[in-house]
Amino acid sequence: MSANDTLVTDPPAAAVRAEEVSMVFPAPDGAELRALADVSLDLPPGAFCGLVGPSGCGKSTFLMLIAGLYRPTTGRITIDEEQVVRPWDALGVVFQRDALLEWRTVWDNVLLPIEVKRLDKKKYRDRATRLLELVGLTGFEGFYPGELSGGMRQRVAICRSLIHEPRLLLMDEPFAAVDALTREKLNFDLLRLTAESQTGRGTTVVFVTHSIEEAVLLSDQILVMSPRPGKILRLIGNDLPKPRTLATRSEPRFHALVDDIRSAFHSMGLV
Amino acid sequence: MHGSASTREQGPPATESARPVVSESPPPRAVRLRGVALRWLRFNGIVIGLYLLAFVLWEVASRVFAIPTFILPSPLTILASAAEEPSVLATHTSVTLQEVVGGFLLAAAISIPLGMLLIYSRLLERLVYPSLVAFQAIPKVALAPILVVWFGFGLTSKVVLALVTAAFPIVINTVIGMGQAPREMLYLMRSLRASPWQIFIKARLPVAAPYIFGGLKIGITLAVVGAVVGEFIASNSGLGYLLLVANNNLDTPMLFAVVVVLAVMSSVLFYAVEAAEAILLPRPLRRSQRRLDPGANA
Repeated sequence: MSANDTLVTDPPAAAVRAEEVSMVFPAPDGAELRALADVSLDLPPGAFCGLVGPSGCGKSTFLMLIAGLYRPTTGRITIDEEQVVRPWDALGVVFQRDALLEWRTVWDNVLLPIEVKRLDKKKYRDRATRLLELVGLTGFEGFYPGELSGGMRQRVAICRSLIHEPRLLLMDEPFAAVDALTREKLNFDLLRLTAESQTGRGTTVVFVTHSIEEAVLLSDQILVMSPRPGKILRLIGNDLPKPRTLATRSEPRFHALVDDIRSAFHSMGLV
Repeated sequence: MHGSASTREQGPPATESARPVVSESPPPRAVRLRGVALRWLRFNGIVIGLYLLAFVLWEVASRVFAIPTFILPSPLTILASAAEEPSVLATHTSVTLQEVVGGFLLAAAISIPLGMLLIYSRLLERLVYPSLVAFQAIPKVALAPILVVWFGFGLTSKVVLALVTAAFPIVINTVIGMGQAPREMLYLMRSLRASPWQIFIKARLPVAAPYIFGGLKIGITLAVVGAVVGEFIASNSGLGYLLLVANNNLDTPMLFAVVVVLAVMSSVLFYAVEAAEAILLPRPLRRSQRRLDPGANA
């Protein structure tokens, strides 16, 4: 790969900070549902942060708050020192379900953000081609989502989230709906896509998952959340060397980290 | 509504392998056309054949059992009655056709925007929706005399009756369709800072389109009902009027001929709406496409 076709974005990645963020939803019976309680967090630019926790602990809610799609009940979230009151401009989001537009081809789905943001499509053609190539979808540009498998669809969604050179990428259990083998493949796709964005440049990633192994494989930092109302229980730095490959999974350090996180859940009486 | 056509290709259903390569050069146009015609005949031949057989049995039965013509005329008698004065039938058909198409187009022009507005305004929904339902509960025949008083004996009263008969399913289907966009799709659009207009045109409307066409297909057949009912109540032209005249003359073959013309007209209009759907909607949104499972061989 030559230097001029890397996927690194020029402006630095986003710094995300959460200050005492709480979120309360009205429950159907008139009571209140506390989803998040006083979550504080400081993510440096370019970090790949894995967010793990039991289901229903408010991981997704937290992501929606960073995305600016929900407003926190109390506290505040800032991106690059600026308070989030609506979706940030250089933001990419991948949801659990791919949310592809069925009536658009793969190509037109990938270029959707360019269209919505009224950017010059011509300038992003090469990038779209390159992204699809990196996830092995070359030749499928003219296909409709309905003609693809679940794993292929999610890869299209990932390409779409990266096309507009986001400086913050939020992923909400993106691989929950695909089978274990595909999931492994997608993990390495994602590593390859984000490998070039490190140390203060490129893209900050917040990746929600309930798979401890996935979080350890992908992240620089792992946030362990408690059951509802969600709190950040532990922040674990992940010093596994990069680039991470299939071999990473058999390293003793990998298992030590996984065990470490699992014991954190044990101490909550969860596992 | 859909993206640039240049990038859309008629790709075969995907497998994980690469797409097949077409190697042979295309055959000449005439040969290709004959091939298409043959395939059409092979596919539809059995249906056409069975219909013809039914008509032949009907014709034979009415002769063998000597069924009186004023009870059930034979197919050939009906055809002869229609051919007797083709210009009369044609004139009245043209009147009804105008009423139906006019009423339907007006119904679509009012109902689709109304259904969309109902989604965007809670107040409007609470205001309009219940009265819409109440209005639908009225038998449309009951409105005909009022409409005649308001709009006179001529074309207008029938156009309006066709309109009010056709409107309801179009509004309801538009409302249902506009609410079908999945939540994550809307979140995605908002995360890209899409404007409400962009969300409407790029997400909500394409998702709603097949539903709206469903409403239009019901609407077009109801518009025929509305127009004929209007002609029944008060008119001096149209197929409904012709039906009344034939009834007064005890001309059963003519009654049947008019019914056949009505059926043909309704069908043609229905398939015209379906053709419009096929032209306007990209492949994955078409009804026929979604019904086909690419994995299953017919």
